[in-house]
Amino acid sequence: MSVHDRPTLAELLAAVRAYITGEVAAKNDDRRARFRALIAANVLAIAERELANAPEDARVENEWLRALGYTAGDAEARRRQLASEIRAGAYDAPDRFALAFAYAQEIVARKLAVANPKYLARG
Amino acid sequence: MRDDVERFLSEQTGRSVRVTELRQLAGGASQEAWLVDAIVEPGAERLDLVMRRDMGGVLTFATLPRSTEFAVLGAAYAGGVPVPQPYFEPASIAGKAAFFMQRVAGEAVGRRLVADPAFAAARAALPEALANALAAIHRIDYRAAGLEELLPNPRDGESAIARELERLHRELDSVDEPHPALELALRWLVRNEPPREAGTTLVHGDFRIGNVLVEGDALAAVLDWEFAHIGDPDIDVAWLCVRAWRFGNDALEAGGIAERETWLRAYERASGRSVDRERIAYLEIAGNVRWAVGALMQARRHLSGIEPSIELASLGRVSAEMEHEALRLIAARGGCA
Repeated sequence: MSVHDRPTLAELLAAVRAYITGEVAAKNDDRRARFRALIAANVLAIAERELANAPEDARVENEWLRALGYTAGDAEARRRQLASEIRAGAYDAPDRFALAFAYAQEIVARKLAVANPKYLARG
Repeated sequence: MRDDVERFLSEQTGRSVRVTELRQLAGGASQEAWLVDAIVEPGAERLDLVMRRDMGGVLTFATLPRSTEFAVLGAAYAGGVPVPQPYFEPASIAGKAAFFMQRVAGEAVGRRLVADPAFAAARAALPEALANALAAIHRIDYRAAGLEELLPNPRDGESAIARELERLHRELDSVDEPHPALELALRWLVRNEPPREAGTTLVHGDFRIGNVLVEGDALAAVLDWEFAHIGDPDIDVAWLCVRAWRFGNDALEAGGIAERETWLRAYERASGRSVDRERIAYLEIAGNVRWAVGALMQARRHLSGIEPSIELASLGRVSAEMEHEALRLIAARGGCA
């Protein structure tokens, strides 16, 4: 539980998004400004989804990085190590490539579930 | 801004120019585009122009300076490609590089072109019109046009594709954030490079729906020449097929307006060159990686403070779409082979 009073962080983001969609975008006659307001609302929706999914995303990635043999350091450091080893050819063997590929598919699907779930639904 | 435009246009025409309208046009995440209406005195002659002007930061390592883009546009115009005629000479307007060109009427917004019933006839005509335009670009004698020294060129003995992959690695490094999915896709591309194309041509570098103007049922102009280079023409042929440029109309793989085969056959007819489908499939994957990296770089223009923009910021999260598509296409081709 947060020490803060309601609205919760998620509720604050949702309130700003509703304001941008309902007031800022809807009542703006300038096409460019309206376009940017709708982008801003979409960015807030991304933030709301990230907030909801973050614990599970982190848990799943941690498991994957362990399975690939990266145990030391934070997630970013381990991801960095994986990225540089892929480039250096350490995952060229078919079974190694398949393993890293499965990790990448899982993580990219999770990124899309936050960034653009509709795209993911299109396949 | 207005004073600078008036001063430049007066210098160039040798007459007195008064700007009657100056406003920024929608679109253009990489360059500004301005509508410029002016009156030239004496004679009250009208000038209907578009000004292209630098924004902060470069889009990618392949971005041309405005003065080079101006030269390429001139060569394309002379080569019979439908483009806005470039006017005068490269300019500096309010401290940033710019140039002026003819204002061409038409619709450029991808979502409308692929979905609006008003463009149904245009969609039927576009594969052939686009193929003719692209073939005309690829036919330009770039040496005779003086572009060989101005534009990025493959080094001796290096394939155009290898050079593209090398640049993508450098661009990804510049983002300074680990991307295992893109590294896997790049590694796959490095290990599966197709045989090289015999001839190099002028390559537009961003030939797609969203960068062409359509007026009525016809292709009115090919825009956005800032990624032009000397290289592999199949890069242009494949780029139109990258999913992002279907604008949601996923089933029509060529820019959301035509079947892939319809496009490829139209290009083969127009160019007289047969196109290897395997190379196109490979370059489509490379194209997805290129736009994934490009979107990350766009977000950096916001994050660095060079060009604060909610639109640029949001592109950082669009990158996952192209990662997803690149992995999907690699998996469909057997993955680890």
